[in-house]
Amino acid sequence: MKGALGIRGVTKRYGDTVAVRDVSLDVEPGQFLTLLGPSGCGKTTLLRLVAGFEAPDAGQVSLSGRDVTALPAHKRPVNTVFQQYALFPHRTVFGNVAFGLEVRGTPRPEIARRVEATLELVRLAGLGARRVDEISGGQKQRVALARALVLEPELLLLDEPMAALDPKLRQGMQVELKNLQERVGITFVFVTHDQDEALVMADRIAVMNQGRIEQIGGPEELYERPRTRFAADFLGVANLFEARVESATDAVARVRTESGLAFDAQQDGGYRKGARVWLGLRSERISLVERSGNAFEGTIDDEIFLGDWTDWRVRVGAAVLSVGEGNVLARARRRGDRVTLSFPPDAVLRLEDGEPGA
Amino acid sequence: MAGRTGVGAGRGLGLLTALVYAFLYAPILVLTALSFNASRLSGAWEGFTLDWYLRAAANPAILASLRNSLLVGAVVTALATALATAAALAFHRHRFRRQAALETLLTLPTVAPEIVLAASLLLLFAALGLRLGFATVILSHVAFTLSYAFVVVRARIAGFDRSLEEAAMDLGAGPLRTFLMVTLPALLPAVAAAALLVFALSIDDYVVTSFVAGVGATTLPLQIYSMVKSGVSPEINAVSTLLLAATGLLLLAAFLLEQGRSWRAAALPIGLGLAVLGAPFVLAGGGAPTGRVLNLYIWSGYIAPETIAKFEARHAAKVNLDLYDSNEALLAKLQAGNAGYDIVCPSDYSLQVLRAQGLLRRLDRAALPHFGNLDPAFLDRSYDPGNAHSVPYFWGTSGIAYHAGRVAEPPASWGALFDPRYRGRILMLDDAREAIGAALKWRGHSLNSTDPRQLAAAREDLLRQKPLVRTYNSSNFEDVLLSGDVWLEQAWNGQIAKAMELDAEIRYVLPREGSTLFIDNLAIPRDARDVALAHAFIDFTLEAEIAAEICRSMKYSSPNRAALPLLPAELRGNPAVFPPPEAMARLELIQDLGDATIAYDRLWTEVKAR
Amino acid sequence: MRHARRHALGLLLPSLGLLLVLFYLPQLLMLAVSLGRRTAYGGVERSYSLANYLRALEPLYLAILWRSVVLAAVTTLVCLLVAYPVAYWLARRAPARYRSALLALVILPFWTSFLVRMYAWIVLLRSEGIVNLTLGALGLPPLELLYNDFAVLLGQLYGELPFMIVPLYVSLEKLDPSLLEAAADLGADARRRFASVVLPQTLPGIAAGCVLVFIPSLGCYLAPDLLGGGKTAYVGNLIQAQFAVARDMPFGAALSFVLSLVVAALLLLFRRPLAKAQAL
Repeated sequence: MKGALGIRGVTKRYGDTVAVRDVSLDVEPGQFLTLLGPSGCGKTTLLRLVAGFEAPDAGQVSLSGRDVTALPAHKRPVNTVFQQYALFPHRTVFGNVAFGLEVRGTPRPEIARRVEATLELVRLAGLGARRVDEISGGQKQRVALARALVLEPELLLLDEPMAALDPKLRQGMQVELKNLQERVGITFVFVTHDQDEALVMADRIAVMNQGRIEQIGGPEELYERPRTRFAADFLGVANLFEARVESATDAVARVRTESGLAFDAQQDGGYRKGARVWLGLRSERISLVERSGNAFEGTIDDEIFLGDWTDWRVRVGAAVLSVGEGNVLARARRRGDRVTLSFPPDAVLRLEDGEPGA
Repeated sequence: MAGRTGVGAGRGLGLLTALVYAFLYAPILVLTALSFNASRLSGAWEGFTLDWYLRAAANPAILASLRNSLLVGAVVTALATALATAAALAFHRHRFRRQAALETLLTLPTVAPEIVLAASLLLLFAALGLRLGFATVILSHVAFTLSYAFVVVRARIAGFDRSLEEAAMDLGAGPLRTFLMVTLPALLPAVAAAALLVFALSIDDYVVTSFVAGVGATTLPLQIYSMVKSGVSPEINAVSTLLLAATGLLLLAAFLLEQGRSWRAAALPIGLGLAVLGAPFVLAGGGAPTGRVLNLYIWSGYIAPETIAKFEARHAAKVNLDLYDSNEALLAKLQAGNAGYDIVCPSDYSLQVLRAQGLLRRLDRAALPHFGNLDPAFLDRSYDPGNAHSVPYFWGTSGIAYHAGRVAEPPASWGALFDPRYRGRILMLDDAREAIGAALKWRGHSLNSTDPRQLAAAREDLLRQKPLVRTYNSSNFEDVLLSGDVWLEQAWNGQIAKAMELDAEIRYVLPREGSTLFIDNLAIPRDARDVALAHAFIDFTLEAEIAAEICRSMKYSSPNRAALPLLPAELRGNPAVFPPPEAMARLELIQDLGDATIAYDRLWTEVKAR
Repeated sequence: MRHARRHALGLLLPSLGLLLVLFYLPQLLMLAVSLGRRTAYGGVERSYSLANYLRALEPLYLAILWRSVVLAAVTTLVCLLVAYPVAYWLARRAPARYRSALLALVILPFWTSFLVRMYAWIVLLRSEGIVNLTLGALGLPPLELLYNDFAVLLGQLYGELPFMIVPLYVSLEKLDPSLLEAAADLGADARRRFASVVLPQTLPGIAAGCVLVFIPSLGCYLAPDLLGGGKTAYVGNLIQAQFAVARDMPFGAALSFVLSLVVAALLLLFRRPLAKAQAL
């Protein structure tokens, strides 16, 4: 039970805008949960509600089974790694990490021991005497992490901690952070707007949009089966169509998109003849080589070279589709080529509209 | 390319900065040098001396004022900085609905002219019936420094990262610890800057303090202003130098600590600085007096500490000495009421006002057995018929002082001050009544004239004279004459008598058209507390021995007939102190002109407006 | 967050209350006085008349007011021109460890009486003063440095300079160096970088400094009296004279409210740039 986070029907308004609307969420002890969403979706506000920096207008936050809604930030067994780190400029690295322990009245020798151990944990051993404006961005982030971890919180909140790091460093830190979390076994709630980051690190991902949780699930589940148009878009489903179901059987449905493409989709129980539906199709599920189920003739309109693979923009009638292809194969093509693209019916994702109130 | 211009520009900037520092410190160097100069005159270097420091250390008035200033400064700095920081934090923590209006309310006091603030505070304290004293000085200083402190802290707090406080809360620090461990250290530079500014404003404030200070609350600026009559004395330069040195030492200590040096390294400058700042507290003594107390409010340079000590010894009493430098300051204080003084020393025309307003107590002649020592020539004047309310203390004249070696011929008429030959070498008293009075007298009119035609003529004369005038000055005019900046000047006699001792070429003449006689008198305010002791003091000054002592040390003309034989011959023979009888006959007292005061003020403004 | 509001109010109220009692209430009393009449003995007779305000608007006094505005504006401009490079050097070029000490040195002279320092300037500037003696020793002709407009401006500059340097320093210190690098990267030369990055970013400091210098300059009276030789009256001298010489408190109060109105009008006129500066 220790480290379990429960959020029940939490709502937070700022004047007329609703930052978080009626969110409920459970995080199991030791889990790495990522709140994923674009800026302004309410993920940071939700985090601040958990940290205790904001009080909810409605709802309840509980920690390790205890209601902490009315508890101020400094009394919650929760620590935060801030986006810009919020390191105390007038304290050294050691002083920053020792801060929480000092506040708790921990004896000096123990402070020294625990701070050193934590600095070692985040690979900052020996830098304790540095001033925080003398260390690099990555090191600052580790100090912020150490400062929170040294208190052995039941729950660690991380507010886009990687945002200020360069991409290379970020990838390294992602793996390191994930390993660290597994080692210390503390529940992590991690806020990011970067889907790759979310997929790499999280045990579970909650996709947030306009103050709500649109979908929650494991990384693979979310990747494979985004449920709403928003989630699909945010998780990188490149081809989205509005379509009408022309016919539907128990096994397969025939759909026609607004742009005039007609193809088969595997029946999931949600296709009914005549209904309007939203569909998603990942670019990597479309092949320019193999034939599987649906096939169209098209022309390459544009290419976006992405290193190990290429994103082709293929025009089929009025529609333009994004098609991903590994570069071993892609080397042979160029703009203006005629191609045949195909995808199996089970690659077609049926999506809910997902607009609030819709 | 860009790099090179950058370095060149940097050097230029550095040079300019050095020049600006030189500009800021040039007068500091001068006053420091003067504090070690053997000459009392602020001109030539006559050798090194520590005499002025010793004299300052032995001057109870200077020490007490310094102590008062430091005390007021410390309390005001603590209060204003704390309040302003709290207010700035409030705006940082919370967005109020009427944020802009509230902030304006807090910053608006920086806009008010100081003199208005001063007068309005006096009005308030009078309306509330508050006794003027330390408390009123402190309250007033807090009122006018708070806004400055707020502006400074607010500017800094705007850039303060709120997430630092959240981080502290997040790490388990409650509101108080967050404030003490994170907010305050992060804001410390701003708070320190605000504190420095507040202290500087408080310790240098003259205008507000002069209005709201009461018994025993004379601060250093009040002391300095009252002493400036005879130029900035080297003692004041010595005190200023010490104050700067102490501040500099404390800043040095702060700098050392900031650099991460140990407290031990900073101990010496801290110790020295505090020792200097603490000295006035030790030297000035203080503490609540046990016996009777006499609160004396008098012109600066009117009584010697030895004389006061004699009185204190004789009556087992403590005399609180507060100084003023203008009749108007005295009037404002007494008119506001509750000043708490037992004895004041108004000049003739202000005595007339005080008496008319019933602000003075009738004197008990039976308690003044030495009254008979006074020269009847100075008694029963129009401002106080029968001397029911006052006893003359000093008298003096205004006339023309000149440097005999520089003027073509000794001036005998006010006309000399209007003589184009002396263009740029003339000084006029910066005093509407005296300057206009001189112009009136020159044309043969009374210096109390309210005749519009005579006044219009005086205005024309003064306007024609203006291009000839080098400066208008009614404080250290004798210093300007001594320095050679002017050759002849309208002057009051007392300061010239002192200047004559420094330069034998300085002369003083009462113009043949006649000039001003002023008589400064001791009087007891209506709300005096120890009336009997006040009478005892007045009678004490009437004793021949004492009156002679006062005259000897202060060099003003004594109205005490019995004291004259006890004076040294050169003093009695000095025409600046005791003019010949025929000149005396041409003197005229300045009278309060009631509503016509406005006409004089307007006339003077017209002269100054061109 | 009702709690936060109450908390913030608790922090704000002491200052606000103090100023209400010790500034706004006295100002109200003053306003009442300004509508009254001077009595023969320099007291105040209650009445409700605008006579003092009408008098304050006579050409004689308006000319003095205008001259004061010009002096304050020139003082502010000269202060800005002198202080900016100094603040820039202090904030960006001076060795970081000496910065705060150097800044403190700017304020240090203010811990002695302004009057004493003004008299020291007189010793420097007068006909046979230190500057002219030095010039003479170098074989140069003496200069008339004292008792003229130059001396007044010098005194004003001396008195107000730190109030310009400090806010400029604060805003220049906050300036993000990466912005300058970005501008340089985009091909801006030093002058362009200054005009397009440094200057706009330090507008809050400039605005604060100008307000802090301009307003007290409007009410100045010591420098004109001591260094200017008392030859020209500014509105500060005029108000001073009403309270301290003519004892015409109603007229002095009216003059001071006219002055406050001028300040308010100027602040209003420059409200937009000031607000913009604050918002940056």
